[in-house]
Amino acid sequence: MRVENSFHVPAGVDESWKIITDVPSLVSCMPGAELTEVAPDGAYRGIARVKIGPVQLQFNGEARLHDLDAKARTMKVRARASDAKGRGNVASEMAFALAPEGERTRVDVVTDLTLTGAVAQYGRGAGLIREVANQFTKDFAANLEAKVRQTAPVRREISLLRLLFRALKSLLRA
Amino acid sequence: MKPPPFTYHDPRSLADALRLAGTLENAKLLAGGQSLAPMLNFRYVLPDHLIDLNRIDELSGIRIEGRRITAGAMTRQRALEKHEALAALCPIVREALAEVGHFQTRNRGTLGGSLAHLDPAAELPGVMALYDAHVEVRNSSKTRYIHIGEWSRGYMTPNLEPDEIVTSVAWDAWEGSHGHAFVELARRRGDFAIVGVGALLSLDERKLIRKAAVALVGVAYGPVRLRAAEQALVGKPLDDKALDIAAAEARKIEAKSDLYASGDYRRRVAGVLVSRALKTAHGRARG
Amino acid sequence: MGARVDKRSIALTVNGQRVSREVETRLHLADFLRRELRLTGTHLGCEHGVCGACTVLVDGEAVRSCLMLAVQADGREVVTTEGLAAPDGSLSTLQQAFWEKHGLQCGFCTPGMLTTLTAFLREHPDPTEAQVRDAISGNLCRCTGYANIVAAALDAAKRLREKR
Repeated sequence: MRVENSFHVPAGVDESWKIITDVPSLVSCMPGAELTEVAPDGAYRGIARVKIGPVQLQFNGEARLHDLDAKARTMKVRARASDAKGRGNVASEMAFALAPEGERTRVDVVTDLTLTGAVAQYGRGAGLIREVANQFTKDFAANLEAKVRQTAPVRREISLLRLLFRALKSLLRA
Repeated sequence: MKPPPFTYHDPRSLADALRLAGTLENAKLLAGGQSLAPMLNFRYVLPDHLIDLNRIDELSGIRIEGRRITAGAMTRQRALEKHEALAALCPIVREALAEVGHFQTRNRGTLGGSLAHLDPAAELPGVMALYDAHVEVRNSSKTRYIHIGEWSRGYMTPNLEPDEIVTSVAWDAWEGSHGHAFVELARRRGDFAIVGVGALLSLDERKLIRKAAVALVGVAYGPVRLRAAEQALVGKPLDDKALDIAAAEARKIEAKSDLYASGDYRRRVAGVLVSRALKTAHGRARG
Repeated sequence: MGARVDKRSIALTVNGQRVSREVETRLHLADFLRRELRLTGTHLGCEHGVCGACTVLVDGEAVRSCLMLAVQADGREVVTTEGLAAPDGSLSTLQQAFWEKHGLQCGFCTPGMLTTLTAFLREHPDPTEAQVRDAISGNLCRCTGYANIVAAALDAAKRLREKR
């Protein structure tokens, strides 16, 4: 199934790109997720805990970044995970696209999700997966925003510099 | 199709059960078992501990004081169904329970269990919503009273902490003569409701609607009160115009799509069932 | 994991006989009856409470034995399909009616139908056809189309009323 989400990062597009491609930092913002290993071939291995009503799933898996385009600011993440207790598997392909929006950056994520096994039938197909994905994205974005704001002093500095630089430029033009 | 291994506990008092719920990690409470046992058999849930509440007598029982009804969380659905005094005060309870599973499951299933499990299609939460019931939950240190409108926190996620147990549910029966109806659409008798509607209606001396309560189940993660429709009905006769207004309000709701029905279909069904339920309740209020 | 297996001793009455066993706490009542006591009349059709083939009587009430743990039956009286006939082997009125009205074909749903209807007829000695159909709505049959089951139930009800 296809899930589309959007969120904003309170930072410029270049900084946002740096943040989004910093996987360990990103994972620390994901609710219920934990990075356990970065394999030599670049695969990120970790655990994601998801609770759907009384069912608590623990997905163990790995993710890889690919098709990074720093100019277009798009990238893809391919992930594969299995429930630790054998209740199913998830395979996902996430496509990220960053676009500047004023002082902020809009991040659009399109996820292609395939669930197999017992988890796939849970919830009578009640659009649960979509809900879980939406909630996950909401929480993730909030955490990411909080994290970025904590580094705000650095950003402010950058802005000041930018302002100074702009001022200088306009002086030179005049 | 067999349960996973767990450590079984069967406390004989509420205090013991609360202590266990407060200290054990990854524990599930076992009430009637009609919803939890299938999940255990499927191994969807994998608790390390199972706290069986069935040997705690103090959690069962129906108490009626005037119009105030208090039912222990472990009260069997069959006990609620058969209770004559309750049927006289709240006849909708018996009518709704006839739709809850089958009589064999109602022999074990409980009121508290149904509320704690909070299946979106469950009828009992809908009946509790009609009465603005309050759910009493306890842990070892405190008691909370939660209005049924605040009970659902998401898909099968009630307003319950891991160390809390539902202990009882309380509501006030409507006073004076009034009508009731519970109607449901399901594929087969006893199946999960695609949409279920409960309605309570009381009329004044001029046969105009004095008070109305309409609740839907099966459309969202928790029961939905149609407050807009209820308000629109007050002071009016229940004529075709009023029914159309109520049905139109029902069709506006946000309804979930799933394997069995689309949101659109649920909205249409909700409109039809709300109309039917109100008509029946009205007939009973007049009669 | 290597965890110690959780067991309990239970003592209960099954079809009039006192039994006691040590069982794993996760063993459900249907498996206890079938495997521990070799009472294989109680059938497992779905193991999640919808088919009714596992229905037994616990303290006189019809319940899904696949949704009850054996440890929960400690101290209780259980009656299975094997316990419906008289000690001398003569069939109960309901069983007799099932035979005469051809209320079974493969027999898989039959134990659940019998226990369910035994409990139902005790409470509703003069049911309508609609009430009988409602009573067995939680028991699935793939063979008969239910008509003969309903006929057998109504016939048994009539005979039981005449006996009184």
